Amino acid sequence: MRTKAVWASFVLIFVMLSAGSSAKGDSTDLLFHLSAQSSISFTSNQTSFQLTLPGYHQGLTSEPAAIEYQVMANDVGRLSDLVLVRVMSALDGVAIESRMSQFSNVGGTAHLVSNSSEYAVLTTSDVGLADKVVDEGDGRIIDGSLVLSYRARALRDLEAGNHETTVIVSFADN
Amino acid sequence: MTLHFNQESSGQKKGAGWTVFLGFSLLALLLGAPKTYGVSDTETLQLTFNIEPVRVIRAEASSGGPSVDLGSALPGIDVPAQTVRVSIVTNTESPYSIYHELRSEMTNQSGTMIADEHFRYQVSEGLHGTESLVSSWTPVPLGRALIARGRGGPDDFAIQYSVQGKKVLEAGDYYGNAQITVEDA
Repeated sequence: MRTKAVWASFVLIFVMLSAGSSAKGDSTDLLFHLSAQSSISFTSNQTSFQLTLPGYHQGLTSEPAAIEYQVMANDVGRLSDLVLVRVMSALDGVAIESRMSQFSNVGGTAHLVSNSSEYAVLTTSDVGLADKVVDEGDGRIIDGSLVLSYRARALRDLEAGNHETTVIVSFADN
Repeated sequence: MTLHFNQESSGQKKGAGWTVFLGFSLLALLLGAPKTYGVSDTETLQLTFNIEPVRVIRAEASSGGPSVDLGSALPGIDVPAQTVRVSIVTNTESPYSIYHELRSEMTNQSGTMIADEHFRYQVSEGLHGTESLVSSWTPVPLGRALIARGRGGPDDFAIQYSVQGKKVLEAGDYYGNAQITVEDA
């Protein structure tokens, strides 16, 4: 009987202590995942432009035409020749030349610079016009607008007439 | 104590001595037996039920578990919000506080993080009175933040997460983790 009485006392004391305590805290974990796919958006509002030679003599050049492009790319590992330009077909007696004249960074971690202050002659093979300069981290994001200037140059004295070709501009990220 | 002892009447004269002997034997047996024999005894045991105060928090994303898939980010487009349902199960009426602890920022394999200001959340009011302290889209702070106060008793509310305002995210898979805790207010 004494043993039982002692046990009963312990039980009562325990009950009194635990009854006065509050609920324990609890927690739960969350894991977040977000996937960002590699992407390139390279666009221009302009689909055609015209260059006019001031005369027909060899060596004359046209006024440049400035065409703006918007680029948004998120996986740019390439450092040089990111903007590639070529013509679909060469013009007889006329050279089409181009260079990148301007880049405005909007939200990128890198920006583009012209790889030459001179105009490059466009051929039917890609010609690189812009390189990348890293501003932050890996610099894999290019987000901004660039301006390519085009001009025509007479390679010889020319007959009157119109010449037409297609210019293909590409943005390469890797 | 009463003993009932019955003896048959037939052969009473001849068996009178035998009867007296049997009676004394039985009396001696009863007196020599342990006192507990045939004695009613009662012990009272105090039985106490102790129902401990319990407060449990559960979080469930649309995946059905604790994994919050924010989807696929496209350049120039905000990531659609994802909802996590949070339930407080409790048998107490004492008020409580709910904390959100972003333990690691959203980071891809090359170590690029989504900046705090682009990873955002908002907390709904509880169905049973829990007060939201993040009622509009707010950047998720790194570390611990008080996000809601419960009046007491069970309740359910929702936390929405989204990646907003970031035009272009560097390509890759981003992971982060957080802990939601309920504590006494």
